[in-house]
Amino acid sequence: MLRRPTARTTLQQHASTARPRILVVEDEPLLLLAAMDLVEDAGFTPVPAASADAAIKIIEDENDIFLVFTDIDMPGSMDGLKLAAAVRHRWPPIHIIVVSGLVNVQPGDLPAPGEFFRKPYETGKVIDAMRRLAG
Amino acid sequence: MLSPLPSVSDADRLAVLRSYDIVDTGIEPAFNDIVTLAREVCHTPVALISFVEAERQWFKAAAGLSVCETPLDQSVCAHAIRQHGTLVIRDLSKDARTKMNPLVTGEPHIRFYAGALLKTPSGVPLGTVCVVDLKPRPEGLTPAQIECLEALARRAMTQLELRRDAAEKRAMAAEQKIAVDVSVARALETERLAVLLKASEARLRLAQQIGDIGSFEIEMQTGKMQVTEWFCRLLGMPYRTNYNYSDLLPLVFAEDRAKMLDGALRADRSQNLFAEYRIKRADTGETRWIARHAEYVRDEAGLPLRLVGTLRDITVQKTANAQQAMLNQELSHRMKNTMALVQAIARQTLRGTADREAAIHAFDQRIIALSSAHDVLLKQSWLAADLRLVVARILPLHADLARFSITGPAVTLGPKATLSLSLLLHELATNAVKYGSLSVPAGRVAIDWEIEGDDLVLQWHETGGPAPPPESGKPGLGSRLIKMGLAGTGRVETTYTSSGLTATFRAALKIVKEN
Repeated sequence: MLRRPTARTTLQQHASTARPRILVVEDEPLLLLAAMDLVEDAGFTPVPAASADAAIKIIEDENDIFLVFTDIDMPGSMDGLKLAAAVRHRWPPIHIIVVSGLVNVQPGDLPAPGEFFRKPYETGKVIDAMRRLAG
Repeated sequence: MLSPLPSVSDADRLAVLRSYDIVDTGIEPAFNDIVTLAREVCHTPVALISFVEAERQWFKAAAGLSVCETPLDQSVCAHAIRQHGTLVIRDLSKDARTKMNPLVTGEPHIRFYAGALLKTPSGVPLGTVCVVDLKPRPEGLTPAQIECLEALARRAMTQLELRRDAAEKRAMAAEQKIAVDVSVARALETERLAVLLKASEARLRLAQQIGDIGSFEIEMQTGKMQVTEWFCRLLGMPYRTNYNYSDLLPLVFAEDRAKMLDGALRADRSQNLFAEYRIKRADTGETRWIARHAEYVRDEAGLPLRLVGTLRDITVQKTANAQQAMLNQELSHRMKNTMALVQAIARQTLRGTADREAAIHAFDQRIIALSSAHDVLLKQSWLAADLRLVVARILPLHADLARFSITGPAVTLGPKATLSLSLLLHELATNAVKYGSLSVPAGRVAIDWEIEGDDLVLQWHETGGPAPPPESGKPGLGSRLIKMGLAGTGRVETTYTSSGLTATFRAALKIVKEN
């Protein structure tokens, strides 16, 4: 309710600065905040989503998301792995970085190309990956 | 034609003699009567019943003579048994066969001898009934006397036969008695064994039941199996003692068939004797895990004859192991997420702060709030937490509970929502203590929640506080977290009044209850 208008305002603000935008998908608010700060530190504009369903809606509505940075373990109809698969299928150019604390997830479970980091992750390495993918 | 007579020392003749069991036995009136009659009939001083052995002659009865045996070289009877018919020697001192006999040349100087043969029904000569005189008898015996002597010899022989029959009957009766005793003993033993076997079978059955173990024995050549009752029960098959190994295979999961003893039936030594495999029970179709242990029984050349072994249902252990593995993974997942949260708290707390002491204090407080949320979750095995308990646990970390009013229905939160709400309440309370209603003695906070349709709506309402200070610069972590809302939904309305903050959070019940 409140978030939508706020988010749009933020998007419009950032659209003017023209920094590449990264969709951050994480259902834990504190981790979402931390991930958004990380994205900003990397020099990009974060767009928050608290679930995979919300994330799909945002990518459908916006057309300038270049990377999806998502957790795996999330509520809703889709987890991060299914989100990654859907993104790879529907928007092939969008890059994907997946993080997870789940021990039984292997990098091979991801649609290629994609990056995988275990939680807790080393911030610097994630930032490097984002910058590399941004070209 | 008369058969040739055996020699004195003929082994067969001696064996026949022994079979009558007469030599060296005691006095018997029937034989004494015979020699008495013989002496009377033949008018001789001496009459004897004599048996000729290999080395001696022995007298069963003797009238007119006190010795009971003599060496064979003193025996005239030995000559008698070498011929058919009755031997009569009228003057022993004139006969070539006997004139050197010590009994003839010396004491008692016997001169006359007549002996009728003791012959078995098959014609074997054993000895004689004989009469002896110390004077020669040129006239010999009359034909009537000879006939009588022969009749007495037959009578003695009959007596021997009767004696032997009686002895045989006694022996047979004794044998029969032994046989009866043996058969009675056998019957008793069989009965005892049957009782023991039954008890042992009952024990085996009980042991198999308690141990949940079924056993089997497979004959290598044929694949025929002998099985126990519990074996059949484990597999859900009707109870029979005999099955074919091939009867089992359809129960086994196709992907586990390679673990079966198929190769062992081809006498393969490399067979894996221990295996765990899944079956579908024959009766219920239920999936069970079975563990098999087996051992070969080999012949002397080392070739397997049989395979004996046991089956055990290990479904419970397998399930427990799987659950343990899942629990370990779940635990690890929680641990990683907690680490990630601590990492985020550290980074976000220390980010861009100049006041090191204040930052460390804020970090401590947040970690304590997180730890309190863990405590509440632990009460229900990390599956859920009661919303009221979460509120009641976090708020006292900041102010006396008396300054809060808490109202709302029972709502169960999932672990993620519990952590997220705990951190949110912590930030709200921290701000209230610093700048809001809890910064003054009279200020209070009301926390209310209710269910509205599919949503949980929770309100934080401060009263009696000062007007909040205008926001300056970049918002802190607390304000930012509050703006994220409950479970990060972003559905939050905040209003600042003169008496403090009022914030209303909304989140789908489905999401806050999620595990």
